[in-house]
Amino acid sequence: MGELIIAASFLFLSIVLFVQTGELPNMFFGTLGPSVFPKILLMFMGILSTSLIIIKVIEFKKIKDKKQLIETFELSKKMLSKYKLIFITFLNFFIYIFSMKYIGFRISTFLFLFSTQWLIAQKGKRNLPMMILIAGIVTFGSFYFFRYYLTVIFPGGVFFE
Amino acid sequence: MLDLILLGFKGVYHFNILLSMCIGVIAGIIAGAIPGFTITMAIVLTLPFTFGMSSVGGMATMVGVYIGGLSGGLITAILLGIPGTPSAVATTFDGYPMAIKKGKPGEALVIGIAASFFGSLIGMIVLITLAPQVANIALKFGPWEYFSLIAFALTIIASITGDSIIKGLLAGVFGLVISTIGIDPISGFHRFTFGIKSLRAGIPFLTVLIGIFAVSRLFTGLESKKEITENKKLIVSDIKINFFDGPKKVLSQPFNLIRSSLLGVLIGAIPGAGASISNILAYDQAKKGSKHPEKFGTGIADGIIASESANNATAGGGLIPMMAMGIPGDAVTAVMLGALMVHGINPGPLLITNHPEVAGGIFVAYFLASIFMFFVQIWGVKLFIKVIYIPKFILVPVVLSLCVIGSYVLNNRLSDLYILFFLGIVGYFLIKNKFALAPIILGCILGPIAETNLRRAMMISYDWSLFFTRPISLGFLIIGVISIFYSVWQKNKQGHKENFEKIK
Repeated sequence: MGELIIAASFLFLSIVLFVQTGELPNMFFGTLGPSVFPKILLMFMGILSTSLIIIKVIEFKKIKDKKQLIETFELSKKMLSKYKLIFITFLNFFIYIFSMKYIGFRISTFLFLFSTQWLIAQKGKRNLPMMILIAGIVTFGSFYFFRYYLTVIFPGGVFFE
Repeated sequence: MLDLILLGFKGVYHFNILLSMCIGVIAGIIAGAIPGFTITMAIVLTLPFTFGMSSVGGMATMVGVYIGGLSGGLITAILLGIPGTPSAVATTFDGYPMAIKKGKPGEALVIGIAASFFGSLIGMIVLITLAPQVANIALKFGPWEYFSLIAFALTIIASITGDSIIKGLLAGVFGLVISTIGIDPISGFHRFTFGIKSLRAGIPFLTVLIGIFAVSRLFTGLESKKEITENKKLIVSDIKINFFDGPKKVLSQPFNLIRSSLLGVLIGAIPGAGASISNILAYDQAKKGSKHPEKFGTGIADGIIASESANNATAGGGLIPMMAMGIPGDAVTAVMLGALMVHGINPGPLLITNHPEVAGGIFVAYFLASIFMFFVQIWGVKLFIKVIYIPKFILVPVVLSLCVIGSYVLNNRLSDLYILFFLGIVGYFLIKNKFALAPIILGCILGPIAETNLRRAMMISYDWSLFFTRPISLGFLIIGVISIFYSVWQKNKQGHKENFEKIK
């Protein structure tokens, strides 16, 4: 099922981008324009995606036993609970990246490291001082190394601008 | 030549130069091990330190960083499945399975380190003996030859597609499409930016590498709740490290070692190619030339030897156009040329004649840096392996934050972090549905080179037949076609063998 969704996504992407190439010239001062190479690639992508969709649909049709299909969908529901931790971690990762601009590198990184350790570690084995120490060392260690030794300017956010 | 080397030894054999070389090697290894922190960045940061040194000392230090960086990528590639540098992508194919699935991280590391060492030595021998000849061949490369070389390199996708050729090709084309996003380098038109300003600069290849490979790999590590909650080590068996096993295993495959190293030298000598291509190309050739290609990807020494010897030999190749012609082979050698100019030395075809002490110093520094790299990494193996004992609830967030830092530091852009996040999700879904990720990286690396050279070739002459009439170009195209058919034949043969064994 996942392969079918991915193939359909690639097909959709190839169509959308191919339409976009219509705005680009095919020729540029008598030579190949910026649209030619992407068009060739997107045609390939469309053909490959379509082939994969067809193969997967044929495989699904071969599943004659409807009970097996229902079991597949039941399994998908169970998988959602299996991937709960991954979903939460992804969300946490997004919040970290999004918040960096507003609260700055140091605060966002510290909070991300601490909260992710907390989320992933087993309930009975959450060592709060160790988690704070690790978050602090990594955050401030990397900040001072990159900022003062490599002169990289990290986002300061509203507190450190 | 012997006079040159003796002069080089005389120039390099000072305590302060040897010390700075050793520090350079260690710094290069650390830089190479951190995903996103490139060798080029490490060399650029080394440059200011060399101003106060002699020209020989400065160049020796930079060579040390270069050799260390090329080899450092194997540490995270083997232990975490995340290539520290693009030159270690192919090392993950067999290094990580050997370390984790087979429970032999020590063996994988020592094999990789030994392969890097011997690859460096072979690169050095070619550099010293054949630099002008190799440079002459490399300079015959016009845009037709470049395009044909890239077309040949793209055929590798057919052999690293995993179980499904269609899925692998789809991933490869996806990588090529990613490389077209941004401002077209020739005409300046915006492509696929959808009005988003941050996409105008395109999607940095390293962000793709970190997102697709590193972030997705870290999240797959969170799937087994049982392993995380029980704080399980990645490997439960005793880890044995036999330092002599590495060189023994590498030297037991002389053909693989020499072929991969020579490929690395040749790719390194071609300006604009580099270790990011050579390691995958060498891996592909090792697989095609093996009697057991089905074992590649399961954690065998052959794959690690091919990748690591090629990427370190590329350093020798990269120095060839620099020393013989004064042309940089890649970004690293471009910085080295800059260092030479800062010291008042004019790089060019007469470098060896006019400044034999510098040329000899570079040759000797290459040799000594390889030895330093070998011993530093061998002594460090026991320390590196401790990474696998770090619980996942600490390892995952720390490495994720380093990935974020690595992506941000490339261009100081927050938008790259959103791209990193998005590609991490894409990479994760692709892994879950058994898509190979390496073709995406290959497509991203090779796409811009292929398109630029194709259009340059068309600008010079609209005659398509030049791709087939120029001998080097034709040679690459023929090898590419053979490569595709051979990969398909190998896969079919393997399929028949498996079916036969099932029937038995």
